Amino acid sequence: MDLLEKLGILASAAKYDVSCASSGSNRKNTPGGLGNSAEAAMGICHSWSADGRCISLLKILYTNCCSHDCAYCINRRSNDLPRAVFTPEEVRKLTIGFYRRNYIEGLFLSSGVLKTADYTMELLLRTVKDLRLKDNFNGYIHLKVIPGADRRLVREAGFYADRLSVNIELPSERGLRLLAPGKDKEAILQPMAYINERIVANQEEKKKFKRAKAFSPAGQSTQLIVGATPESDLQILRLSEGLYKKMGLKRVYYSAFIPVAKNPLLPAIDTPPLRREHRLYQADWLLRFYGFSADELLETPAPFLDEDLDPKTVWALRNLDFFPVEIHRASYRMLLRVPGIGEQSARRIISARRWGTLGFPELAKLGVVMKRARYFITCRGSFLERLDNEERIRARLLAGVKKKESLAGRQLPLNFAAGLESYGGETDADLCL
Amino acid sequence: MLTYVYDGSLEGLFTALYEGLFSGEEVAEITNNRRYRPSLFSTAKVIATDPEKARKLRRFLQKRLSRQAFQNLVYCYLSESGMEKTILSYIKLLMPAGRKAGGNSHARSREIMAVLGAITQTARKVAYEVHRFHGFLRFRQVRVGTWKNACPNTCTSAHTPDGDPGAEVADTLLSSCGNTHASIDECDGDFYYAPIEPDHNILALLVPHFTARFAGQKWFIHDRRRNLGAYYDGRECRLVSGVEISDQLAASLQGRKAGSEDEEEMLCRELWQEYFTSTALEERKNEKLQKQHMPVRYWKYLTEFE
Repeated sequence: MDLLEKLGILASAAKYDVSCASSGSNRKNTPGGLGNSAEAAMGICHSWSADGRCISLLKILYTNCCSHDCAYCINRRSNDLPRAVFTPEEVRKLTIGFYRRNYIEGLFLSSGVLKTADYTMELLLRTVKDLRLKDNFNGYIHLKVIPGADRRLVREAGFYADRLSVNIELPSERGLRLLAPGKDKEAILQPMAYINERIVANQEEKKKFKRAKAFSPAGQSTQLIVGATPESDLQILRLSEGLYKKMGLKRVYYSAFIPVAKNPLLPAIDTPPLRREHRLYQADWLLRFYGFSADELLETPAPFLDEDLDPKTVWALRNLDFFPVEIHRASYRMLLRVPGIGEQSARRIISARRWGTLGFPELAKLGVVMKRARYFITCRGSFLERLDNEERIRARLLAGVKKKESLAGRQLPLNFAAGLESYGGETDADLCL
Repeated sequence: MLTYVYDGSLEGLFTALYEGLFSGEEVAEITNNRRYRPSLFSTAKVIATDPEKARKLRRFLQKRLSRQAFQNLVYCYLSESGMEKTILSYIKLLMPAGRKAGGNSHARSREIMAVLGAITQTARKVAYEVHRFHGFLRFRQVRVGTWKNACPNTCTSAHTPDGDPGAEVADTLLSSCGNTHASIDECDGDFYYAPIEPDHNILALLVPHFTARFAGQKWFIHDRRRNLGAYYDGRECRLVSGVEISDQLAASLQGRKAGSEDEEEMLCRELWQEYFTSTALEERKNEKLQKQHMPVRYWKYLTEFE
């Protein structure tokens, strides 16, 4: 099998992983070396594929042979499809060749489980190590940790990769038991906790010793599949919240379930739940940057996010007693909670109101989305439009949504998260966590 | 109506701005000699570039402005979108006389907002294009015999990656060290060539990123719209103008096989195209979103669309 064919197989086997970030690291180029990932401000996207997702890393599996038989996964043992295995040299050649031509920011290397977890992890580690030591490669490397691999391997990998990640895939233990018989919660959460422990310890070391080697400097992330198992959005968001708070994760990625197999255990759907994924990303942003908690956004009687309106608007409608917010007096935290006001416009309001009073046209100029904000704010005590009834505001907002959709032929706004990330999202994450 | 015509260099622009500030003339428009079109209602005055005046103005600006604000002015110049008159109005606002002029009236603050807004917006556009080209630029490995001619007309630029981009670019663009017409033919062996056609004149702004990243390889970035080039020989980077590429390379850029590329380069391109198609999820196809992020005008030199 030639390299071209292998690449085709192992790239399409890796495409279901949605992680794409290439920012947050601080690796500089070495004399005579190749590449850097010192880009502080934002990640660089090199291309966008036909599905509108950005390409910044060469995202491949080392092999799509796998000893697991997870029902949701295209690479499951029982699936009949062409299999391939790279050699470390091939991965290096591809990475260096692509990087030198400025096609990519670096490498995203994951793998199916070949023989045992340790054996696979060793292969991955060797590849990454050779890239760093033999090829003098200083570009970005995102390495998947194989659940169940030995700690020593994970520890060593952290010194060569910029980001480590362990995929949770299914948001509950029950889901895992049902669909991924070879995996269990502990095998996933343990390495995660260990990586976090190492990252925290490494930060301490770096304070004491200037030359301490960085351990996974861009942190760790994970991925959840949405819609393969019946978990509610509330459960998913609670899990993410826990991961951010307790495990110090940089990002949780949500991947709308794409039916790659017919299995009685899996839901029968024709199209991936893209709208739901989009709303989850919005809620995720609210958790990380807007000071919301999962339990504020959703309540047990209705544990799913509204697909027609964004989670912040829905929260505001449920909590109308917090509103209207007076633009000239509200705190930054409260401004952030107003639908239509984001981080940037909130900051601009704070600095602009020091110099004089603001009217509604000025707010629009500062970047506030007035079609949503208008029902929730006052300027010097006056409303732009006063509707103090939840139902009426909702009807009005929905009318706007429907109108836009009928114009656009109901095109879904896909993969909002990847776009955001490429233009600063990740940077914000680094600031906040 | 008086129009100043300068020679298109940053030094020339600074001279014209200096004249506009101190000659007492009412300048209606400042334009460079390439863009200038004579009109019935205006008289043109050709501004001869004067390094001394340019230096003075630059010193004044760097003293009065924050790094960011000075950088914005340089970016506006590089935007090549006719911002010269706006820059003049901006500098006038900085001058003592300008500050006194209108008091604190509402109209005046609106004028300041308009000028400032236009400048930051244009500068942001330029910075955004630089960011885009960090990703969209594509190198190809080529062999010797690529050039017909290229004349280094600007000096070596010593770059510090985390320095002050505005001042750095101004340094690069303002230091003229004579036009020694010589072709670059000393690049023996392999090196990497990247053609670009950006909307704005961003070549000098791309240099720091690529010198830091590809310090160990020789490369040439060629702005084909302006015939400018940045040539890095493994040690330092030079900006050159009047670049002409060989017929062989020109043919291969148009997608015709010219035999000038070696097997490895062809294979690498093929591999990338394979990767590009394999990594897309058929189930989530969304070409509108793809084009939104990657406008079609940038596709010309993208390997994946060849």
